Amino acid sequence: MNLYPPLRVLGRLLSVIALAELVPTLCCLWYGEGAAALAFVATALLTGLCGLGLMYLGRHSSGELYRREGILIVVGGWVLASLFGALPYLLSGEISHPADALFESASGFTTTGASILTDIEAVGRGVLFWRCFTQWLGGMGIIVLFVALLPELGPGARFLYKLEVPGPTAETLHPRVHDTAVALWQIYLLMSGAQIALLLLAGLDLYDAMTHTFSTLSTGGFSPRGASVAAFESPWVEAIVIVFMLAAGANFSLYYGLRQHRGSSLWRDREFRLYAGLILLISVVICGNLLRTGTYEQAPRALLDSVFQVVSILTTTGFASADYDAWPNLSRVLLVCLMFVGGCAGSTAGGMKIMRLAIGLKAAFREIRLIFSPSHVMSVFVGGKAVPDSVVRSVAGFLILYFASWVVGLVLLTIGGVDLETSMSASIATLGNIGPGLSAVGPTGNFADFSAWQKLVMVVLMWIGRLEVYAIAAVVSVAFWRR
Amino acid sequence: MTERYVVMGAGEVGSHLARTLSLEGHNVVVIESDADRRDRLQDEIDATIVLGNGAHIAVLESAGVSESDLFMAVSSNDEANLVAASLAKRLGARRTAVRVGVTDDITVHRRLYEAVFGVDLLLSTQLQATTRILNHVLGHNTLEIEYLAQGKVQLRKIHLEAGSLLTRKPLHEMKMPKGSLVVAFFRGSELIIPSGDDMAQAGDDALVLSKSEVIASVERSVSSKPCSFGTVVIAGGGATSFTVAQALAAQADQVKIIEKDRRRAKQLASRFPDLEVLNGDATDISLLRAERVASARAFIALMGNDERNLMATLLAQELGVPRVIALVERTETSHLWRKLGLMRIVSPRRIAAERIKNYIDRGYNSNIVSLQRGKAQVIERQLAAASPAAGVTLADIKPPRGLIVGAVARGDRVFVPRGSDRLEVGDTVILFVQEEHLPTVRLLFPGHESTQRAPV
Repeated sequence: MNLYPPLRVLGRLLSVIALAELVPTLCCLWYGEGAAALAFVATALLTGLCGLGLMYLGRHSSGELYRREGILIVVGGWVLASLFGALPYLLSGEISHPADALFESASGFTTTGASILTDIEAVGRGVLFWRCFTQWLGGMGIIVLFVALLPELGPGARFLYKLEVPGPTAETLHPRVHDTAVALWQIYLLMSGAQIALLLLAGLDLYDAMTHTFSTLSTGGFSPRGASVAAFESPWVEAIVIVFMLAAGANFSLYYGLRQHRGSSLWRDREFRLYAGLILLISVVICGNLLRTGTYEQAPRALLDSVFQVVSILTTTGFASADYDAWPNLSRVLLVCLMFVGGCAGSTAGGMKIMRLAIGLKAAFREIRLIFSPSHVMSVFVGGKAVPDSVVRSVAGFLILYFASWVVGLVLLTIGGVDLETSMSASIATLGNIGPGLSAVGPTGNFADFSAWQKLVMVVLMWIGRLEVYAIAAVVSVAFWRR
Repeated sequence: MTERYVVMGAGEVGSHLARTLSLEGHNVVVIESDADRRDRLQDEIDATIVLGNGAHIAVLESAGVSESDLFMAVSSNDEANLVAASLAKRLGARRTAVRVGVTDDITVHRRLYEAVFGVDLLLSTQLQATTRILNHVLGHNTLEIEYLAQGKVQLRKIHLEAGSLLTRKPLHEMKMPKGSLVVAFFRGSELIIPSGDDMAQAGDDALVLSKSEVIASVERSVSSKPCSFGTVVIAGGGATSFTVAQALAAQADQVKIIEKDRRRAKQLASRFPDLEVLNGDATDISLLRAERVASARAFIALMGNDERNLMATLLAQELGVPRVIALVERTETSHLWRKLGLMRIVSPRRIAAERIKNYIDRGYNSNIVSLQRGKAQVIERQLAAASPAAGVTLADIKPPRGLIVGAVARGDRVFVPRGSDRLEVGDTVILFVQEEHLPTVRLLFPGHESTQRAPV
């Protein structure tokens, strides 16, 4: 493999990240946090210098990017972003242990939302802004941002884009992938603006509105408040957040379709209907469960809380408006099941994606049919469209690798003696980029009690979840490095 | 009267046409590119045979297209046929008829093709064969189909047998499916525009305008055949099979296609979900038994090979399938087939040849769009902003009897308008007009006569 072209591209990626690191400086200065501002400037300088260094190392490379180089760039980009994104936490002194800082940074970029902070509101506002801002960047994807900002990446950009965009198949909205990336960011910015405006109307200040918008639309789930969205005690804020979580968990190409033909393409999309139907069904079941067991007295509150939690978990946001860990077991189990499902393909959500599960299930049904009717030739149809067999194969492989990752994570996290609920939910909460799990890592708990190496395991799980297994699996496979 | 005809392509269609026309005493010139075939044909048909490619001007000129009454491009190459017809028109041929294989382009874009290539009659062998097969399978009596509004609307001429509901009830008691309309009856050479109290007689042909989605139920209610139809098995997975399967999907409980080639089978299986595709050889009796073909209501052999079709249909008959249909390319042997008990034979080329012959015999009145030698017409119009009918309800227009606004296509939607419906600019309206009301149409719906052939 030729290492020079990836180095050059990664160097440029780092300089983009360096620019992003300057943004929270404004916030620090506004709130008079001089030390934190200095930390951000120092981080940006360091990141920028490293970027220039990499660009210098790779200066003699030709422009061609092949698949291996592409995979290396995407994986390397996420690793580097997480590493350099951890610097502000360390330099500002808010987090002292490097593993903790890396966990927080990876949790941000991968839009997981899991935290090792025990007292969030004691942390400076600038650093908390950075936490949410990393989620916003990671939500639409740092590679997509990179492709949008740098049109001269050439044909290799298409492969980079496909590796990062979630879902079994990555659609491009424009013939040119650069234009697609720009269009996606435009939609993302537009939605962000809308949510900030609505949250301001609902009575939040600009800081809260922005940070919560960042972590809603990216389906991240970081909040500068200890009690998360529940801190505002406003059903309006909760409703707004529900709507935008829902929007962020749907395929962004649908919004592009809306903008183009202003038709009802949303409802015609099979995956979107499954997504909406699943939310409705599980919310009603959980709401009924809460009322019957007497956990809630008032039906409206129970309904709002169950819808909020269901949407938050299914879209892998991980906001909490209630302590669902204290809910009856049926509700808790259903929420854990949703953690495995995740949002739609082409959204900012994590998880396995509804599309993949639909394809996987249909493919399994096909195998049942073939047992007794072997000469039958069948295609897997989802939403009236045939799914190519290559995609079915890739989905089957994905599902197996995904479960394997979860199991390995679960075993490794159990070492040290946490209970099964904690380790099972912590493994899927990080792999699925959700954030909170059950028991010790529930909405009121945090991930601080794991040992340093276990935090690194969870960082890897978050990367695996965000890049949807294959890219990471390729980089650790032997054949990838063989000449 | 002796006419002059030029036929391009001396295959099954071309030689049949040339032979028939020459026997009738007309002057026929055949263009054929294969020398062996020319030599063979020379002994069989009393016609001049020009050797060469009909898509070349020099060949067309030496065949004398400029004095021809009809140029028929019926070779097996669709594109060459279209190019040749276009050139022949420019060189002075009075009319052109073109045969193509494909179906989709014809149903959707026929008018555009006719306009661009100067074709007077464009017909698809596959489409004709499909119609014939569906008639056999479902017991329908469709004589002709005309596709309007890019295939979204169909005009069908249906022969009415004694049992048909239309011959038993007056029109206003008939519950026609939503989006369909009985436009006219043909009784002998008479054209009747029916009112609600009118009733058809057995032996009439009915002209029905309908949305393509509901055409199946229209056929059903007109021919009063049973609603549900069991399993239909199609042997062979070619383009015709697919079109037939697609048309049957709505009416049969299950459509199965047996295709030998695995790649092709996969391709078919990815086209639409309701189709059951089996990978195997339809002449293999153990496969037919394993897939319980015996319980099928109909078996259609479309494998593109006469011998294999024969074999498969014999097996299906042996297994007890009540309706067996075979597609046969070589028509001269079809009487042998009938001896074997195969009652339904569909020969696409023979159908195409008959269709063109029919066109000539009817005085070049090609299709049902122009009816009874121009006494009535079906006109497709796009509503211009300048039209007095734009933005007005149908009740306000008060169309006279003999001018029917049959269907309106707006965007993707097609409907049969009622009095309260408003016409909008950009709508495609399909009008059924008797000769004397043509001036009214010109007044109400100014614009192109889209039924008129564009001058080339």
